[in-house]
Amino acid sequence: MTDAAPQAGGVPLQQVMLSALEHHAYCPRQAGLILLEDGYADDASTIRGTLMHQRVHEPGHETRGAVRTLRALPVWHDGLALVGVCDVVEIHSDGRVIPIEHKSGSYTQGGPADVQVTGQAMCLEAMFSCSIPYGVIYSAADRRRHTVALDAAARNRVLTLADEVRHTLAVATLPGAVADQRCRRCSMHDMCMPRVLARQGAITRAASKLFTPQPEAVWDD
Amino acid sequence: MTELLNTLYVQTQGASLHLDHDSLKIVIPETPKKTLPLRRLDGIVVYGHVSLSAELLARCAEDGRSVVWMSLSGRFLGRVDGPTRGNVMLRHAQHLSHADPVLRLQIARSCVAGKLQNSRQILLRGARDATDQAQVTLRSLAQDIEDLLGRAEDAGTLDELMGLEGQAARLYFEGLSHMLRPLSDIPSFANRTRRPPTDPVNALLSYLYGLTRALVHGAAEQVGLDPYLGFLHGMRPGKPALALDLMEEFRPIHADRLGLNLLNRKQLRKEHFETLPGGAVQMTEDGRRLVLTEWQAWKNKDWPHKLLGRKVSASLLPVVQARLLARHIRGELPAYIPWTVG
Repeated sequence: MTDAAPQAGGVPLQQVMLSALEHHAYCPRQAGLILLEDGYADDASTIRGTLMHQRVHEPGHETRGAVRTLRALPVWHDGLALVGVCDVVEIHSDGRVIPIEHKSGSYTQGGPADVQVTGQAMCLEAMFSCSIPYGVIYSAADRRRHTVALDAAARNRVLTLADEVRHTLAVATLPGAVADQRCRRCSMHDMCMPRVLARQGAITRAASKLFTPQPEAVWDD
Repeated sequence: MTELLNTLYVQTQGASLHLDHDSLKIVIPETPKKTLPLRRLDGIVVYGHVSLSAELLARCAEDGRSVVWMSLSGRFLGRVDGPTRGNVMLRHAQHLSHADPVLRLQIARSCVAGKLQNSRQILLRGARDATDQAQVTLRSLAQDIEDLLGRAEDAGTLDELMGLEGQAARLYFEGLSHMLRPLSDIPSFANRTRRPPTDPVNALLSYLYGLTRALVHGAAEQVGLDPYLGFLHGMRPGKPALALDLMEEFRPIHADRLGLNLLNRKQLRKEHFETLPGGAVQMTEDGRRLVLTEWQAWKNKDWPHKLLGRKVSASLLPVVQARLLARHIRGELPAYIPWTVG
């Protein structure tokens, strides 16, 4: 993330992790907390994901019939300044290259995972000088593969999100808290404090009463 | 979710701790070996002559599980906590806030306000449980602290603020002496003495402050704040000034109230303390064991947190407060709001 890729125009472009695109697509503040506050918190579902990826992420490759399977493959795109790691890349003997992103949860069409697999495909296209018409999300919860079409809209979304992540890094200010239903399923909830931040009025009121004696408290101990 | 895990306290002299796969092995000469699963521990605190293997230390550092060394009397000696956590932006913002006289004084005032509010609550609670003259005295002391609280709002300099805090502390400790039941076989205490404590009550308070400090220091580290750069306590080599700042609001409930309960319920008695040649007083090993057991239970107690709108265990309150402070320092909250019991 600290390296800057050379850009044709002379201004180096800040390199962006594909995983950051996914976080940003889910919630810009979540990506900000990871990138700017060096924060990461696990919960049951992220640990489930990590354990699953331990299996996928043994670097290596195997060939079965007409398909060569690569695991934990580092990928990058110098021109777009993207970098990441593919869970699985299938290289078929007919020349097809298919990135397969593993997710422990269920699949949501058009969700953040689509962005990640699209970005992976764009890197792979540059690396292998091929064109990739679709990628795959494997959902462990659904136990099935979902095909993601890599059309112009999907590719543009990757570029837009990458620019937004670069903006977050450049201004070094956390995007605001969303405090919506996303927060309930977010492992970074404690660090983010969305509800507290959304109630700035309560903070101001509390600040104005700091020096006013509080009513007598009753507690059991 | 920051999970509430156990802290292992080891005070058996000569004990040694080792890493055994994912477990902690405790070896005490001439006793059966014990093992504990590491994943259930969020920290290890050792007192005096206890050794830890290099492998165990490295593993704890890697997992972000703190290891704290205390002297036998409970004085904080040091801790390891793995790589520096949090981020350089937050630490930089902390330095900038510290260098800004207005921001610095504002945060320092919040810390003092939290301490005075909670001290006052302890005195009022003491007055409810007291009778006759003690009740009158405690209510009057609480009123005096109210007055100081009002003056703290207008304190224009850190020195002035520190002065008010010192006055409040003297009144508060005077109040504590009225809250100790005379039935106890432990002599009442006149005023706070430390380095070293010269009576049992002060020895107990020092010990509890040491425990509280280790907890708050760890919370600052966990959130990524520099524990040594304080707002009220400034900066001095080797002094965890920010930990001391954040600790102020917790002293009355986390330490003083627990200490009072242990003495008034006669759980701690005369035989739990010993006087050393020259007059310094410290707790015996049995006394410390009793305090640590009660401390662990006390830490698991839930307390209301008004700003969060929910209850938080005593052991996680410092983490929540350190996060609130970090959010204020990063410009996301207009003020630092201390935790108050009321």
